[in-house]
Amino acid sequence: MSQFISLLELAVPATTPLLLACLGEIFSERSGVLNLGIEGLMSIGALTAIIVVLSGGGLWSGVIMSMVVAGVGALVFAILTISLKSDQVVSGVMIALLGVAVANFYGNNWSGETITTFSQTKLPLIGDFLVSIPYIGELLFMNTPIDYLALILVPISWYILFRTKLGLKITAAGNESKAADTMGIDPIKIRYLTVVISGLFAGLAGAALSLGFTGYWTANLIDSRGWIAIAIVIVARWDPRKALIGAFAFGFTYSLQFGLQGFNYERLPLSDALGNTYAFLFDPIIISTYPFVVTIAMLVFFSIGTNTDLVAPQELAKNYIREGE
Amino acid sequence: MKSVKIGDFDLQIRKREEKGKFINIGVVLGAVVSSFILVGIVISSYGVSPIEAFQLGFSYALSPSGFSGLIVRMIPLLLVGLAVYIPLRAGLYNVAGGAGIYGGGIAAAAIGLATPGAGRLSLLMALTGGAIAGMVILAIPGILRAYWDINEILTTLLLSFMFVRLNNYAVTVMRGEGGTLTGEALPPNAVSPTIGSSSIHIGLLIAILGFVLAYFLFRKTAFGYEIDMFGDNPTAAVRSGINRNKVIIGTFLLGGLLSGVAGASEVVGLHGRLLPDFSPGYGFTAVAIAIIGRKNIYRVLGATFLFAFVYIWGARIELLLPVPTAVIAVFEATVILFFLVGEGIVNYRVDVQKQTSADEKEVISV
Repeated sequence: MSQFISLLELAVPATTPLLLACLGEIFSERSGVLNLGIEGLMSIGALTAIIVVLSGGGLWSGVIMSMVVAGVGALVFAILTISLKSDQVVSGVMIALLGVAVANFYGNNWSGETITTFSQTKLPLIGDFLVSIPYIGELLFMNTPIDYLALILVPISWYILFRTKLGLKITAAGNESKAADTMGIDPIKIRYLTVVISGLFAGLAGAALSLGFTGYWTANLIDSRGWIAIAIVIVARWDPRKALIGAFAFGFTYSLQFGLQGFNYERLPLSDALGNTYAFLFDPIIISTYPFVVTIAMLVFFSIGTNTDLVAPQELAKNYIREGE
Repeated sequence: MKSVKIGDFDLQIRKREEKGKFINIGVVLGAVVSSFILVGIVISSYGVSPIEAFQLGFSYALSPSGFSGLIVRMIPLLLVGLAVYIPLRAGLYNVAGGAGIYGGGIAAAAIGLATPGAGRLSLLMALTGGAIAGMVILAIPGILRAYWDINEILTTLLLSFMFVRLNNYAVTVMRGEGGTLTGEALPPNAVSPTIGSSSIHIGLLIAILGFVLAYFLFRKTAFGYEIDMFGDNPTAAVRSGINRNKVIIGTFLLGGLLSGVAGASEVVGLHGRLLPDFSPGYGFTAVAIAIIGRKNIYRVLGATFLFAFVYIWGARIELLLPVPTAVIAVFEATVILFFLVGEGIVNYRVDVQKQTSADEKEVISV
């Protein structure tokens, strides 16, 4: 039991960056833009946050700056795809590659130094009660402010997307851009807005990882979380509420990497063959491949038997070109 | 049509109807030059003179050992570049070059180590095994895309990340005596001969074969024609009787074959053993190569040369100057982004009209 609880304890900080990146991606994908640059934007966000804090700035100014920098990165992607009509997939992959490369390049000077991360706090008012819940109380309700922020952003994002005029406009831009344009909704403006939003979220996700969890920068810190976040969007069917469940499932898988490494299967009464199988399955390197295996399995599981075309934005990854342009 | 007025001038942006002969090659050259300038700025932020860095890299690349290094780099890049290029002509994105390379490398090393008594056949089996391993791995995203419409970009990427780690695991399993950080050295029979004193290995032959295969695929075969039709318009292609699943799975199998054999030839040709991280981002570079290649296989060759050059240039300056290797990836990404910007811009032309008198306009086109 205690082993299981220590796994859950790591699941929350592992969930937050995935959830934030995923929420941002939902905004841009619902408006028809597949932003594959998330991994790169998270990288520069995470590094910026660390640099700001190491240079004497506060934790929150680190968060803000990481959002600004990643937002600017997303703006570059927006100009490329929305104005210059470049292929979204290629531009996205290259922005991801560039972001990771630039962060690794400049991060070289900043790796190895540790900062004090956001401390874990209780929620105001109801915090004491929630923490006192046996077993799960402390691990679910004793978290950093960024974790709570991510949690609150779930209903906010859902409300904006499904219950406001802006949300309708975003959906229109991603499904019927031509019709929307004739109705006076400018798909270009909407898409610029959502792509920048996805960048802000990605920056926040990067900061959540570096300032809320690791406390240091190291090369390839994001470790393909950005790509998994994009996969979660599909699994979550472009819905922020389901994204919360999806992100937590993946956060748990990530936490397995840390939790299972201490698992001592050698004490179990096993035959040689079974022992070797366990030795393989619990090898730290093999454990590190689990998030990818689980992601592919989830993509398959949620795609077989359902028609993704019905829920996916109809014009996803298609550039909007005005007539006569 | 957009129109902007600046003083007497009236700027109009419209779609370019005809493109000049040299505009495409101009875009590529412009992107390369801009990237070199940008990378120069990035390098100088490390307190290193970019001029010195460029001179070091270029003079090495033009020396005999640099030239053989260039060929050795071109082998995997051309093979993996083609592995991305073939599905891309069908409009499919194979970002799993890395998975194929590592899968092929692991298989080749395992076969090489397991067959010490098979004579020269061992080398052949290792290469074939690598190719088959690549095909098996790439069949997964192909089948998932064909039957359940699962996004192939994500599955191929996730497979790449997975196989980098599986390769590291395989290295620990194949570790030789003395606890080195690499796999055990392959028996001499499984290692490819090299040309003279250079390190150019059997992979050169395979890469040439791969290039010829891709050339004939699109020039002479019905399947190549089907791939192109499907890439232009999948709906129309299916309506005219082309088998969608055959195109998707077929192109991915070819991609697996080429990237698998690329990994195998790195192991049996260049390293003679399995190494951790023996593919320094070739999978991503392959995407860049295929994008610049667009619909022309000679451009694939040209792009392979360019990126092989960037790799040895980057490796050289990393060795001699305090610049991190990430500079190679920075160059790679910026060259493609500039290329996309260039392509976006040349699709449009700017007409400048000058109001010369009350109702006369002088048109200056750009």
